[in-house]
Amino acid sequence: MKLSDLQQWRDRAVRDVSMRGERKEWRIVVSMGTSGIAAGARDVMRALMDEIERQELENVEVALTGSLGLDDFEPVLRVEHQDESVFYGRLTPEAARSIISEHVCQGRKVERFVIGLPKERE
Amino acid sequence: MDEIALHVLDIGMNAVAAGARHVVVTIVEDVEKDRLEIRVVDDGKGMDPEQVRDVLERFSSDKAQRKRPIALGLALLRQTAEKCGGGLRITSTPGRGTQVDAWMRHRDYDRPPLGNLADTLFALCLGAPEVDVQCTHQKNGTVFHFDSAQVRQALGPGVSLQSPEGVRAVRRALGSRE
Amino acid sequence: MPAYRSHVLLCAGGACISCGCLAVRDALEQELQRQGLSDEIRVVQTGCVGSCDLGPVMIVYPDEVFYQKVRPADVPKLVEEHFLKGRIYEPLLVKSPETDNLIATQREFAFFNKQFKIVLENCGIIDPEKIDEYVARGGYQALGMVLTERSPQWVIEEVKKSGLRGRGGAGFPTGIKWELMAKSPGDEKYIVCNADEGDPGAFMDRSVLEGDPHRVLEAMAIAGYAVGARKGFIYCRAEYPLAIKRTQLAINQAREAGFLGKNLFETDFSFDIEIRVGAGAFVCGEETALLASIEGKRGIPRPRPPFPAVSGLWGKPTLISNVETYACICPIIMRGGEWYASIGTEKSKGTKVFALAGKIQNTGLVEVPMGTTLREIVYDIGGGVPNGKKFKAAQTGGPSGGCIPAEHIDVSMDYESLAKMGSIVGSGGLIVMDEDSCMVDVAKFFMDFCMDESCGKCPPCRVGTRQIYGILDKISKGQAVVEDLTLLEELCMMVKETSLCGLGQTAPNPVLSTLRYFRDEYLAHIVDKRCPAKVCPDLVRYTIDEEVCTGCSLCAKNCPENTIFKVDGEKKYRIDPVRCIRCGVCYDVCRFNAVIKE
Repeated sequence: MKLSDLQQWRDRAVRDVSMRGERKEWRIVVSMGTSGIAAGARDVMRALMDEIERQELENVEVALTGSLGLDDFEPVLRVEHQDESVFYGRLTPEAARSIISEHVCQGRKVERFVIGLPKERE
Repeated sequence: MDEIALHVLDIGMNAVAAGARHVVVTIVEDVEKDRLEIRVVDDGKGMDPEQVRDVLERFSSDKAQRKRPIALGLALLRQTAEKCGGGLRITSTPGRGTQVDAWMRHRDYDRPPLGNLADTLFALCLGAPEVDVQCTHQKNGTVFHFDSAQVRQALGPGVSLQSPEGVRAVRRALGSRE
Repeated sequence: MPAYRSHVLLCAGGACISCGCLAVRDALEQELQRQGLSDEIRVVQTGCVGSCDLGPVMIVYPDEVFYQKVRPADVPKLVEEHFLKGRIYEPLLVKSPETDNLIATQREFAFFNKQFKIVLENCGIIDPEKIDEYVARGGYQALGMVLTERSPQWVIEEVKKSGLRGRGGAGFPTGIKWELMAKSPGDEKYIVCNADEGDPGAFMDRSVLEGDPHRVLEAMAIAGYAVGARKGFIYCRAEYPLAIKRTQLAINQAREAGFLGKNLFETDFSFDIEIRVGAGAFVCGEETALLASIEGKRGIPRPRPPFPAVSGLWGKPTLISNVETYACICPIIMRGGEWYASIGTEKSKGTKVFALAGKIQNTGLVEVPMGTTLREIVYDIGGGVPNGKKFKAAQTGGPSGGCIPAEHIDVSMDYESLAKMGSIVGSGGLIVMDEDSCMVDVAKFFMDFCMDESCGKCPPCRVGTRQIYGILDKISKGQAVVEDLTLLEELCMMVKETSLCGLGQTAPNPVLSTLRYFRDEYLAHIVDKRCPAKVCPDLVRYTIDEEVCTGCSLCAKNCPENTIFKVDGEKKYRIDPVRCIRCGVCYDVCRFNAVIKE
């Protein structure tokens, strides 16, 4: 067993347990289904990660999902912190950067992009 | 979906949702032979023939139209490929994985541009950091290769791809060409 | 390849197993199979989660939903609600006693979110019987890196930098111990892990071995590399069969994978580990007695010097440390000694695992940075004293420690501060007592234990503990005089100063400590012949309040000595104080609170 063999073993094994253990303080779920992609979710994702990197944040976890049930408002994402969930829609890369720099870094929601829950829209 | 790269992202997302551990993208641009080939292979849970048929005929059958029009990506790509003198084929084995092949005329007027492949790979490997995303892009003899597993190994244990350091490393690995 | 959408973790530590978690596991697997969910929901058995009185415990990831006291009968409804309908199943959630709100996730539960886990970072997360999961969490990276890229000297420096001190109780700087070992001449050296854990109420070592055994194996191998040893022993008490089984399994798996055995990571370093099982002796937790026991001799301590680091097992240099100490090594190697030293206080670095028990809302294992106050542990994490009772004292360090009274509840939990109070950190046992605990009785209990466990080699301990117990017994029976207190103190000091080993040297601590802070309670027993906490049977009087008595005769029927009689001409009962043996049965059975205990 070489150290590189161990690292490969770890890479294979980590997917099995990555779901458990401590969650990061912030969790952002980005809708990346076909309608999201067509509406520009990829560029929003790019801007999001770039801003996380720029702000040197270690406490944010990002996950992709097929759909958040808000197809009319794509690109859409959800910000989870403690027991609060905020939905953002009709996003631009600029909006994504503000979500990180204002909502995550300063606790100020970016009101003009906040949208209600899917249930509330019905 | 006006970029090939966006289709690649869409197919990659299908693979991740199917529980894939590895997604391998191969793109060959052969200007001389006037051919663009795209292949995405994954080791997710795969589909049976009926599921494949359903996915490809998303908007050509009544049944599909009555359902919510989601996951139209593959049907759209097949339409585009056929319009450009090519086609799309899905080969899948339940429990083993799926391979999507699309080909079309490179110089066709209606062929969408390749688009920003780097951003597609960036979004895919950062959004699903436990999945190995590999990509080989060949054009006129030059080859661009990306492997998220290599980036992860170089980062070492304990550093997530989603951390600032990880993001910088992925960007560096992709920035070498696109 | 199945893509699980959820992992359900079932705590399978010793405590939860005794609560029936295996039946819950079987019921869960069966129900998931029945509902066709086996490919989507993965059931994982883990080690101790820490919240031992809430078992069987179930945690659902990725949402961290925390279910307590799960019974097999609860499973079908739980599966239907949570996994099919996507709703949290409220009947099994923890309820906050102050606010009455339901606590849905682990992260909202103060018992967990105020802890800082290093030693227990994998317990309750991984399946201890699957080496893959240990590897997934970064296991054996430290060993691999150290063997291929670092020198033994680097390892020792890093451990020194961390400021880690022995977690078995003595708190000796671990880095210095390793350094002494490395300097000892000879090429036959041993690494020993003390998993005897004799303190009543301490179970952190057991939980580490049951929940994350590889952690200890890896650390022992690293220690071997650093000091020049090729063989290790884990001495585990026989009363821990599950820990022994899981540790042996881990050793087998490690050998198969090439993490133990010859030429590890293709270097010329070889290391192997064997388990040796104890035979029910508290004294074998003392290092020299332990080594004697491994050698096949009777577990009796011997004078030191020579210390084990110079002459230990079979006369060879031996590094002997506690399970918890070893459990800190891998993170120190991976994240750096400086990182470890940034946690805790100036002289007590890192975290400590405490076993919280007694009169407390949340019992179980708690890991906090050194320097956390007792108040934070008891109230913020432990949830305070239940049933509206007042906190009286907390016993730290088991039979070798002392108590911290209520007026000192803001004491910082670290080696120096507790020593100033007359107690010790010890193994980390933390027993909370309320107004219904008698401090004389507590001292007597611990002395009884030490007296029983004394190996008998040295007179101060063999005879001294017996004499001390005799006096405490007299006090508890109202037969002592004030002069006995002076005699008690003298005896305690003598035993403390002249005993051969730690057992005798620390046995008087509970007595000295309770005398220091609760002298008035002792005096009440001696002078007033009264037990203020109403515990000592001989000093408790039971009478019936005849205003309240309904004459139901339940007490009389249950009295083992027939001392309760009906009052002539009335529907009331009375206890004969002369013949009453103070067993307390009448007090327990009376449904009208008519029996008074004083």
